[in-house]
Amino acid sequence: MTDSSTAELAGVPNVAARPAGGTLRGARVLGVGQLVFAAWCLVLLVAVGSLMAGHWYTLPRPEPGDPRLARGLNALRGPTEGDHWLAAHVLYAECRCSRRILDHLLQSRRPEWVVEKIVLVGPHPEYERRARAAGFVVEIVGKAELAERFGLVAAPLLAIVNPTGSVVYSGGYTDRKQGPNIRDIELIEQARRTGAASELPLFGCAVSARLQELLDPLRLKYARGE
Amino acid sequence: MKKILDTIVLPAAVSDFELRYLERVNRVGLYFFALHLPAFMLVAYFNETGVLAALGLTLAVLGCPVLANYVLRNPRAVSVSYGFTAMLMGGLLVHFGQGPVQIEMHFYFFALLAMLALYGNPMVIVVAAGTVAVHHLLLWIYLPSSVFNYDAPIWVVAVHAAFVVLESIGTIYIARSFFENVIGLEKVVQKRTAELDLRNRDMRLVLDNVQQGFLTIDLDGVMSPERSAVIATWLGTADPGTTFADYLGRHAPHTADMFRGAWDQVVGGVLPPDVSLDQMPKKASVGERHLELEYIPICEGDELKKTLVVLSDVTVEVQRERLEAEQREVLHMFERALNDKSGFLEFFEESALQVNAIVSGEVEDTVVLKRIIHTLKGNSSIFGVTTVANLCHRMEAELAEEGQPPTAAQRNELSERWKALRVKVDTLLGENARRKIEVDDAECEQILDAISSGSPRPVIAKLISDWRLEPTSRRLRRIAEQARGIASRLEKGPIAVDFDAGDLRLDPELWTPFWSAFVHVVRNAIDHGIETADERRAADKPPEGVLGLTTRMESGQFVIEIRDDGRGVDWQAIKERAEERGLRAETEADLVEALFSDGISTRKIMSEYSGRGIGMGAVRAACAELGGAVSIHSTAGAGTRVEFTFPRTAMSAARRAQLVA
Repeated sequence: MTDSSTAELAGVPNVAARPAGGTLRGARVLGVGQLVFAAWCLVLLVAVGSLMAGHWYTLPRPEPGDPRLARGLNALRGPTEGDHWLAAHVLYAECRCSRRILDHLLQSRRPEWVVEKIVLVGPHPEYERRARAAGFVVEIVGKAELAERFGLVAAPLLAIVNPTGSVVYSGGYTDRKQGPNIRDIELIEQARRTGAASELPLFGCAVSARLQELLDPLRLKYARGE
Repeated sequence: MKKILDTIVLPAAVSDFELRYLERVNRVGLYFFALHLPAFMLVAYFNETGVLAALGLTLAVLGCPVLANYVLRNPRAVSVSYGFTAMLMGGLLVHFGQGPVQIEMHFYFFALLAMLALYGNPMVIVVAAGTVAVHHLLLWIYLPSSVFNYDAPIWVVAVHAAFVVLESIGTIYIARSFFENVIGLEKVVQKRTAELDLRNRDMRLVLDNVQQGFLTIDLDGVMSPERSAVIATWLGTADPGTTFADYLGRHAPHTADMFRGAWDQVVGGVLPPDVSLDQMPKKASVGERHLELEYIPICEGDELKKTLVVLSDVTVEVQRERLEAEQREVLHMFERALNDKSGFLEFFEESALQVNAIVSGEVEDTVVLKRIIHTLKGNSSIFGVTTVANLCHRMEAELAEEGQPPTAAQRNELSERWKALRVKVDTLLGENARRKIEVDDAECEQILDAISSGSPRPVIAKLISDWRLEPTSRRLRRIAEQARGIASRLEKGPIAVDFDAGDLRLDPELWTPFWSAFVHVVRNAIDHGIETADERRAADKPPEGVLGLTTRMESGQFVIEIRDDGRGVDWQAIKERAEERGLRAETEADLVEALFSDGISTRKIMSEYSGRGIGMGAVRAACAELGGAVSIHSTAGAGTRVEFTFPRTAMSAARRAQLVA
């Protein structure tokens, strides 16, 4: 190897192998540029990491024995529905996961022996119209009201209440995030059959402002006021 | 650990090939990442995850490789930034690809990790995997449950990480192999080349430290650039494409001309290569250096492709041989001097005059110069002074063939050689040897008898005066001895030399030039006249040739006769040569005249002794100097008789003649 064909790098990754400007000013500009580059990499690492946090984080859900949840859910029953099984679908109008569940609810054959209610954190007139058209009773609540009445901060969430008014299930719809197998009917059947249902993690969207801030500190995901 | 580090960290040196490769692959990588922008926007659009967010975030991530290309001068570092960028792009894809295939979007990470092997730099893989690891670590610190999500047990996370680690290890190995065997191929070649260079250096060390020079020449005679260094020391440097003949011709033009002529025959392919190469010149003189040339054919099958020329400096050997030859020459010379001291001294003094004439360069008449050189050559040969004879032979050849008088170098060489001989002669025989008068027993007795018997004083004075004169018997005896030597060297076998001197004496000082030239007639008689023993037997003659020498007084004139019983003069050949030279050749007198003309010889091949047709002219000229005349009588197959007739007064100087009177 001849001297002219080799750039000795001294083991430092950013030592010049290509011709540099040669002037002191050029070297300074290059140094500043490299600092900017390093900072940029760091920012991106945090930014993209924050995006992941929203996806990976298993959303909080109240325990089935939470009295506030039971109280809020039982309040959804109509006058003649006191001795029926109740399934409440808590959906968030700004959450794609919630819309997917809504679509599933509207497209699937619903069991007739259970009273199903939709609690929509909205408003979202279209969702409301479509759900009512399909025969669902829809109750519109705000983010703060959801937390106050039900103790919930994330959606979509399925809650199953037995005829005695006890919450036997509160959790997600799928085994994994965005899983194609939405198991709501299976869970409801299981609950009626066994008195309880397998617990599934809650994947979806943060609803409360506090949870949104926690999961998306850079406001990348919920920047649109989700 | 060191082995792992050595695997991951590439050697610092970046070859030109790697540089070009990385610049190209980095450029392709930048285009690849740029294409993520529309792709991610489409993904975001179909998954309703925010097209504008996809635009903004993807552009932000794209800023990383773009910045790297501007601010990182080492293309390897740029590649490393691409490893980082790839993982960030994976993060964006997973985010914007939220939907039923969101899990599958994670395949991007594994695909990109594998693709990064194309950079041939394990560090790119390490940085990519490290980015993912740091990413997870940061999230774990920030939100522990985000890493161990959906309440997955730690072994699930371990399996997840294991795949990344396994792929990274494999990819690092592939990247390093790619670097070593593909990107680093140039280095492998360079390493091999360096090894070959080392071997070549070793070989060159050997070649450069032997006193032989090696070079090869192609069929055009062009020398290969690789040759022993010693050749440049001997013959100087040569430009690429120089032919060996031109190279040699700078110092040895004559050898170069011989080379060119012989080389044409070699490449002509008429003869087998080894046979034709054997005709090439084998010696060359370069200044004081003597080179020996050997030619070794390099063939493919029977076809000559190249020739290896081996040059050996044989100066020492040549000098040793020359010294030995000179030593032999001196010994031979003194042997002759001991046998015939006065004859040798006469030769030496007469030859000294001839040497002076040649060395001075003052002889402008070419014919005279030729005669002088020819006479010196002949006598030197007879007296065993072969170095002078050989030098005269070369000068004579150039004078005859090119009409060029002896060069300054040749004259200088002759002068130096003669000086050296003179020193030897003066040392061993005495500087004033020539001035001494030698008196043999008979002469001494004669003068004693004359005094005892009371002879008159004039008679005694004459006898003493005669001591200064040379008896022709002594001269003829000397010539007879020389004739036998010539016959022996010419392989004419032993010859009988009869001589009859009479009781005659000659003034040696007057007659030395004649006797000096007379040797040409003797040589011609033996070389041209007397046949070999076989030829003589075939001609019904005794195998032993006979040469007769006589000095006598006839009709008041002094006659010197030389005769042989050989084949006689080939008058037809003389006639042809004369006609070739535009001389008259009609009558017998014309042919005799032609015989004594310079350049006429019946021989077509010159020898050390005769063949140039100069001797007869020289002897006639010497005869004429003494006022004599020469006649020739020849009978085909019976022999030749040459008779020199001088006036009586030519025999000795006038003062002595008066004294005698």
